[in-house]
Amino acid sequence: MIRFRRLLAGLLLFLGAGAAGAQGVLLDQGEIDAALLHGPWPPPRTGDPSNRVSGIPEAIELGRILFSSPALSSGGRLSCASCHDPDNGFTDGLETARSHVGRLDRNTQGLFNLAGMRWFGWDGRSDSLWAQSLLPIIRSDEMALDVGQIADALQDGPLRERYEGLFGPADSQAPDRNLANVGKALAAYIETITTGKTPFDRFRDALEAGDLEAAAAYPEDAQRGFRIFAGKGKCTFCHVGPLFSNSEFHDAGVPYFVEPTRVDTGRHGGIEALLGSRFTLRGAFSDDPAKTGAWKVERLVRSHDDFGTFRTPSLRELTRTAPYMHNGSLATLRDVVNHYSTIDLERMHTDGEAILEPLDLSERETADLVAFLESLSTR
Amino acid sequence: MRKRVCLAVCLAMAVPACAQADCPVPEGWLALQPVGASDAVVAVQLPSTPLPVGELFDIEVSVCDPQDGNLPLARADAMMPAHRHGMNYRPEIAGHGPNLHTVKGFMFHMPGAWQISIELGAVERQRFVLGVTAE
Ligand code: HEC
Ligand code: HEC
Repeated sequence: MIRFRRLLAGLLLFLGAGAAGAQGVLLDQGEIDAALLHGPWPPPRTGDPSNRVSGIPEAIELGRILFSSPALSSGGRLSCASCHDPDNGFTDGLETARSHVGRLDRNTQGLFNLAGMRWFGWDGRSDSLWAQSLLPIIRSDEMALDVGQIADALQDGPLRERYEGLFGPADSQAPDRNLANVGKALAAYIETITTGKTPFDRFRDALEAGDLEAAAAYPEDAQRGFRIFAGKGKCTFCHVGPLFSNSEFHDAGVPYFVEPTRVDTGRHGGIEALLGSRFTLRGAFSDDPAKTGAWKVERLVRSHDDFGTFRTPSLRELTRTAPYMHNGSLATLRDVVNHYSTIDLERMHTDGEAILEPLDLSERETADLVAFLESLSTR
Repeated sequence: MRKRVCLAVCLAMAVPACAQADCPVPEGWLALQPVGASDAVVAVQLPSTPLPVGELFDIEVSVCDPQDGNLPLARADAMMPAHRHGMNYRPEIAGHGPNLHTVKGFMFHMPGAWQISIELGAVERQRFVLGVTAE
């Protein structure tokens, strides 16, 4: 029987009937088209016009040094790398981040492939990578540096010369300007934290090239997982495109109570913070005369549905960034799949989007979807 | 009266580009369906079909009303009927020419069925809709 099917598939292929049913490729034409939408990868590199040092090697180097320098924190206690450990997927492996004040409310995001995102932070409080990168320096529960001291901090050893070379003497600039410049150097570095082709990307490329032999190297469990992902799982409503994220905000049924009496307002609070920020793409610190990205903050539509929603995360490199969700409440990818499989609609906002519903996946389907998610990582 | 009949026939036949004789729909444009009675014909030109997901795009809107040649374009928007939500960004109407408008800055953040909605009129609004797909 199997041999007969393979024979038939070969014949179909021979007749140029497309990849459907071909040996080792389980997807039908519609599913192949859906797979193609998640590439090509990597995306073309484009600089950030709002950051004039984006892509400049000296800025990338300064950003790299700043990233692991405790000089930018009050009392020299923390650096970015304390939470975003480069050897640990640029995160800390904890449910939620820790600092001198104890446990924070949210999971430390990994910093892979951020150049293509529209919003930053779980709640999208920043509209640019540089604005997001300067926030932890001044936040009282993170690095807690008094912004007035930033010029002094920049006198530190290797920082001074490099900063001056790019931006001029720190002590001749207003503290906010120092801060924006530091954010831009950090962003220039973070933009370089990109990841290469995954098993899924090679599968997708082979499908695009019509090379079914190469495509067949992609494991069948991951292929079945993709069929659930793009099919009855409806995952591709939000996890779209090459990044597997629409960079917008949704309620994925994760509880947003931080304590019995306190909630994480998610996007709602993110918008408040954004609108109160002086570091946005429409503001004076953007280096783009055309203010290219300013439409995001200027045309934002606010809605009561923003409450308790979080940015759809990218699904690349998940094997390195456990635990998952904005509160780190799910330890493994299997836990995430089980969450979607048994999602509690009672927990969703009353007028939710009516996309997610319990999938009731079998043991094998669960394993398949996990295998697919794992295939979105380079290791 | 003849116009009404013509429109009714158009709707019954569900021909998208069907329009009244005095308001022909340009080739390659899509006529919207009026919500309620209207003599006006609203048509749009889309940058692509299907429309993109996660990218800004602009649409051209033509308005033709045999009764009132100057019906203003009051509002342009889009929503996903199945998911009961609209767009996360407000598009901007940039008129050019009396009955031709460019609406800038549509952004569909999800794939699937969307409905573009155009409202005409300064005081009393007439609404027109068109189902489109984003991929
Ligand atoms: C105390 C731990 C901690 C420190 C220190 C820290 N971060 Fe973070 N980082 C987080 C957490 C938690 C989040 C999620 C924030 C949120 O949504 O509120 C985050 C989010 C981010 C993001 C957004 C990522 C995305 O996907 O949108 C960027 C960029 C970032 N941090 C850069 C930095 C930089 C640069 C520094 C140093 C200047 C730094 N972080 C220091 C914990 C930390
Ligand atoms: C309605 C939009 C939407 C749909 C549909 C959706 N997700 Fe998500 N996904 C999100 C959001 C939003 C989060 C973050 C939720 C939070 O932290 O509260 C998320 C988080 C995740 C995470 C955790 C990533 C991380 O870094 O923490 C994984 C894995 C994931 N989703 C996989 C899936 C799979 C598999 C499906 C289909 C079964 C799916 N998603 C369907 C929006 C969606």
